[in-house]
Amino acid sequence: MNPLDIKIISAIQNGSFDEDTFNSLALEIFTHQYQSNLPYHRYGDSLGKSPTQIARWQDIPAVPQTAFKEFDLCTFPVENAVKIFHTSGTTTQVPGKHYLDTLELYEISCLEGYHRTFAPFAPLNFAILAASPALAPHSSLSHMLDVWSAQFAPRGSFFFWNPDGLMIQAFIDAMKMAVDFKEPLFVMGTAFAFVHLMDALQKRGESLKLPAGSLVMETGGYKGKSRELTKAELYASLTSTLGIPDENIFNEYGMTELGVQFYSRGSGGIHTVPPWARVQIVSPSNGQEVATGHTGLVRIFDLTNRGSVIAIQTEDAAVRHETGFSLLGRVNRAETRGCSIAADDLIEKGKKS
Amino acid sequence: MSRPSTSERATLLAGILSGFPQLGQIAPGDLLSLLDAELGSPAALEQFVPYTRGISKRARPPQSILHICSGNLANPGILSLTFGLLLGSQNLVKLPRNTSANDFLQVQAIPAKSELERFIAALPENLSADVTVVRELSDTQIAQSEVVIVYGSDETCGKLRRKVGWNQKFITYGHRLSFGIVLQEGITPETAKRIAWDTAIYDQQGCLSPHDIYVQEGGPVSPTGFAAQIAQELELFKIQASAPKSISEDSADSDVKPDLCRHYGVSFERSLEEQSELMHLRSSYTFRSANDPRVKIWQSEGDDFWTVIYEDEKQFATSCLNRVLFIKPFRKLSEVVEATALYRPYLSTIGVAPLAGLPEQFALTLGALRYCELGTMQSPPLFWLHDGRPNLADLVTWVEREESTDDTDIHR
Repeated sequence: MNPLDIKIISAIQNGSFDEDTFNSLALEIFTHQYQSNLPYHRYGDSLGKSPTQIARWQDIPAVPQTAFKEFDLCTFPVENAVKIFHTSGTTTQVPGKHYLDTLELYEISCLEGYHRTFAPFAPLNFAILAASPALAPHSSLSHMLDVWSAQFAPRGSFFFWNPDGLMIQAFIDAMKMAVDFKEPLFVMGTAFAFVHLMDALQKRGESLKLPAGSLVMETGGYKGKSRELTKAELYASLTSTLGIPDENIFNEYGMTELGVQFYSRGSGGIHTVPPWARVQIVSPSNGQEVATGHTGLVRIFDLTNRGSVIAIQTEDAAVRHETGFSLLGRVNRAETRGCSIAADDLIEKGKKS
Repeated sequence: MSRPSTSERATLLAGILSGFPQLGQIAPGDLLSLLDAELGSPAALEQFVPYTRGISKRARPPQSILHICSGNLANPGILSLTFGLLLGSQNLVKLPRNTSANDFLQVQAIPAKSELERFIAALPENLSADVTVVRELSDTQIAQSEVVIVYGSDETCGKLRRKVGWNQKFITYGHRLSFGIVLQEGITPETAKRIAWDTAIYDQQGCLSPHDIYVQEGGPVSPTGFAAQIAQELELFKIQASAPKSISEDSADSDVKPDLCRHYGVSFERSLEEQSELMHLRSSYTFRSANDPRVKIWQSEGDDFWTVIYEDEKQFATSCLNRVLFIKPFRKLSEVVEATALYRPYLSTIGVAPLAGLPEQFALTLGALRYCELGTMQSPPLFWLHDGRPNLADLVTWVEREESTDDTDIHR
């Protein structure tokens, strides 16, 4: 095992990090990555931010998420990867790849994250609206849900997904059974899968009141795979069709390129940051952290990303809070305001026509 | 209030246009020459003028013109309204609305007063009587206009097409884009300055703004070296644009000194969407340039005012605008033809340095509708054939009069 991993894991297991512990571990991880991840090394050099030039975790260069599409960002030879997670996205795009030489860091982050968020609730059966790892071997979400299932769903879990997609009828049957047996369910899946499910229920004129204590966790946005709802609309709809109160609905914010996840509770909930990560909400115009209450882009520092890059700059907008951040969503490209055109829309059109 | 004659309208309009130096010097005679060029005579609106073989013709202007203006820049709207007023039509002007691609972001208000609004406000009573301004448009207003002119995205044009009747004239100016070519002999410091100007004004939002500049290899300076010069010139432009302003508020002041921010739409303000896009583009290219010697990036410090990206990849790159310019090397013009082929249906202008060096056959194979010297991409002459069409001739309807002749042969 990488000696750094032992330090990271024991720090996570020992509970909270003070600022100094976090800082020194973050810098140590960055130094390791600088030495063994050449594209990151060169990026750091080009910004004048090599390990000898910085002393604070805040100055560690954050890699744009898109770089995962163009470069193999790992601290080991890619052939040593035990797992490769791919980003989703449209079929025409090249996926970003996250190489892992061990699953331990990723899994401890998933498990601790679950524990910190959902431990207050009794063990439940899982009903999963996503593909299983067997069907989606490169999905980090499927992997996480599988790890959770093994650890936290002693009575059973099921991925309601077959090669044709969401198994709506089977899911509805399972929910009805849970209602009959008064067994609380933990329903988890992608936001677009929930939309498809609720549309199907509404079409049939059905609604269900899941037993008290049931939970929902939605994640991942829509990516054009269903009609899009605002968070408030989605949660209201989940409450009315599944009978889950707002405070029992959670959002998971995570990404293929990271080990850490962030959770919020209820439609107005704030995403909290676990001790092994830091989040800055930065102004896109100058890269500086915005003041509390202001909107910027999410920049994440994650100690469990030892094997790739510790700091990632996302294109997700959020409002900074004292205790975390409230996620607004991916910032779409600015709309073209007239006769000029800014992006590859024309090419896309050309392909369609 | 008597209706002004054509030449009176030309004089009034030219007077107001003198407060808009970005449109060039437009004298009353220029507007009459435009009538002459497009309608065959400056008098064609007021009397029958000889056409051909015993036929005379008189131009009947449309009763009413609806001008749907886009938000990216004001010039097309100002000129469109100028042409409508020159013809003597009633004009309904739909001003742009500001929209955001992201529901969760607050939409920034439109700048206090656009140049188009300033133009409308400056019109004297006998012209402004023919102008109505709206921000929202009803289907009835669309249906009641004899001519509908749309400046905007292809989507906007398509949406409006469905609302226009078969008996209405419908003229659209949809998506277009432009680029530049610098031939070996055009690689000079002056050209770099001209490219910076073409790129910088109107925040690169116009369809005449260059996205890319193709620079020929083998000249006095390498394409990368030339990219660095353009970057330097953009920095000088930024310094100039940041200088404090002293400008009279009198819009009709004929001695008005051109002001970069006001007349040429230069702004430092960006929406969060734009900032985010620029940040990502810059960091992605910084990452690439650190890892790929064929990529280089130059950018303004401390803000996102300008970005120059050199890429040894010929394929045309669309810029995210706001002064993001791609520089690409080439050896033979045929390479540029190939690299831009996908965009050919959308090409507006190609700025060339020097234009005389561009063999004529390439003007057709490259596929643009306008070729000009670099440095003038954003200032087409009053007489330009906008998107390949005349400006006035498309609007009028001809009434003709066939003079009888003695040898008329009537068969019964």
